Amino acid sequence: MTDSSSLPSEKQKTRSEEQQTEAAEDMDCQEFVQIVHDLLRTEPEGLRSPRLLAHMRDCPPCVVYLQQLEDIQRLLQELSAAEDNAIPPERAQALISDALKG
Amino acid sequence: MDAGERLHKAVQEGDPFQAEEVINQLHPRMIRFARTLVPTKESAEDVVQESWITVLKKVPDYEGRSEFSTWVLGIVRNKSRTFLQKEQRLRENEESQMESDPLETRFHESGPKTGHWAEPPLNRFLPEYETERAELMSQLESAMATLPAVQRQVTILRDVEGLKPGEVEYILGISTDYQRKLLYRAREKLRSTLENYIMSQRTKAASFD
Ligand SMILES: [Zn+2]
Repeated sequence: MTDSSSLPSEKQKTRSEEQQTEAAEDMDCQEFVQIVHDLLRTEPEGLRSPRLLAHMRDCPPCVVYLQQLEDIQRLLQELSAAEDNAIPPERAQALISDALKG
Repeated sequence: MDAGERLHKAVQEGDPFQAEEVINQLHPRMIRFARTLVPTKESAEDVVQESWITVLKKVPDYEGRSEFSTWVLGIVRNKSRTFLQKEQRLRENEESQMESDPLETRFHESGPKTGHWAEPPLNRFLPEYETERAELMSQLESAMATLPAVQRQVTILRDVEGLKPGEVEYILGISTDYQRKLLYRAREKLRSTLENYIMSQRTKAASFD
């Protein structure tokens, strides 16, 4: 996911001030946090819903929070990619020759 | 052809190259998952070895009702059970530690700002701390190691493997709703570890000014 995907888009700024405040007041930060955890990784498109974007526009700390979670996702991927969990070739071959015999 | 069909065909036709390709492809994921189930790297390797024997034997029975990798990880889970006599007790112990919300103190509890950040998160981790990436990774790695076993299992399957809640329910027998709780706590632990690390770096930097 790119950095910009979690930030409020330009389009959102055309909404009236009133609507913005209303949308943001709809949701507190605790609710934002819960929703974001539910969407992260399984439904990333959902992270750009108008309701979330409206909250993020008015709430820089929640933007940071989401970015932190996304950064962790990225670091977790890198961590697991860096691990060497390959099977030693002789072990793979032993397994296979046993299986093919049986 | 998916990996299951390829392996089945390889076993049927006695094609060691095809079989080895599938084994090489799935083995790292099996080890990674097994390491969340059993205590040591050695026991994880034993569990995966056992799992491969079963996979190779049972591959003709694989019906394609789930992803092949999900089916294989389910076998890893079963093989790990023998290493986990104390699991139930451990799990109960972990559950009792899940009462409170780890972010509880970070939000306003009363007044007009109820439910909003009282102590907001300060910085994202990347790319601001790009130069310390290696250190962030090692902090994250140790935080992963200190997670309760079930939280680590769900994190590996959901966030690293990218499996769907239904697939994880099949493999671990943990409901979607409970996965949600476990994942929240696990990510929050990882997040606060990195946050604390960055705070400590800042304090250090400030004291040099
Ligand atoms: Zn907020």
